[in-house]
Amino acid sequence: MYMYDFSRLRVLIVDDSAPVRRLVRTILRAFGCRDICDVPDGYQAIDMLRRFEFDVVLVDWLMDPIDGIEVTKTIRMGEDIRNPYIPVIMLTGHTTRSSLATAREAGITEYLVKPVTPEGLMARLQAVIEKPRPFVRTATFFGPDRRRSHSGVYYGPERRHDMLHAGGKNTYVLDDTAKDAA
Amino acid sequence: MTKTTTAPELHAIEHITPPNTLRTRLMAGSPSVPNPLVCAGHAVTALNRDCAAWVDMEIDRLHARSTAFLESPGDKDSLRGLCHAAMDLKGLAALGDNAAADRFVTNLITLLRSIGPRAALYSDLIEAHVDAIRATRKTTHDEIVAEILAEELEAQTQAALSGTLEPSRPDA
Repeated sequence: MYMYDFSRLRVLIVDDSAPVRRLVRTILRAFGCRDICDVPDGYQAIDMLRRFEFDVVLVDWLMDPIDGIEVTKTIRMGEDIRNPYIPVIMLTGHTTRSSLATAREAGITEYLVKPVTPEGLMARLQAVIEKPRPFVRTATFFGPDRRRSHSGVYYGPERRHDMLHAGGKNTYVLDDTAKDAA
Repeated sequence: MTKTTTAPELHAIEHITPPNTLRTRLMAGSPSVPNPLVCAGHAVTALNRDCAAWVDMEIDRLHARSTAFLESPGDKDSLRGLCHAAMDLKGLAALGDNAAADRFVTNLITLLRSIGPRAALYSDLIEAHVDAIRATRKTTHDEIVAEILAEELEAQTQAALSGTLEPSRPDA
């Protein structure tokens, strides 16, 4: 099932907890990874991503001085990042619908709830290898597609608003009837 | 009923599907390890001794952060620091074979994340969680007592979240 040559995988671990970095590194080495780099904060991570090529980033959410959300946004929208398409796996100790939405809006690829286990990490790696998400670019967002399916080009100003074109350019009608029907 | 509004400039979403070079590269050679999950399981087990020491360190940090938060309950930084310490402990407790600490800290995180700075109203409940976590380090630690305590703390946390628990520090 896991027929990958992980010795070819280049991973960056970003976590301010030295034990967690060591744990993740230990698991990755057991998978066969040899090219592993770890840093304790977001600024160092961004610096590394500007200077070197990686295949996957594992980033902790809660860090100082910048958190994993800011790191992810910089990867997606920042300048001089070598690979803005790089899969970002967010590590966190707590999940809620709103936190998941926040992470997705920042441009994460996958989400891994602590404690980090070999099975959990392998599942996320397998997801980014086998089912890479397409990317989308809008005026305000660049990152993995947050929707499971899409119908092509989208012309509305906001998602899921039942806005009907009402004539003039940039003029829309908010139709409550249509909204209820939907 | 209809409302008319002016929307920003129309724009299409650009869909990009980068080539999956990662899969191609990782499938090009033979598997690096025949059974990576088994290997990783052994490696994590070997870390357990170190893990216990790390958990001890994180428990001390949690205690310090909870004290700081309860001394300045309105301070967002101290709340963030406490959440941070709790998350880091959760990241290690389950691996250090400290299931009780993992359960207590998970519940503490639920409390802190759900009601934010208002958690300071329930200072006794926070202290009870931290004391329970610290008690798991003792050699006399009793699993049955821990189970009962965890159930009680979880019930009190749910009561706090639903607003039915009397605040221990209404002035906080």
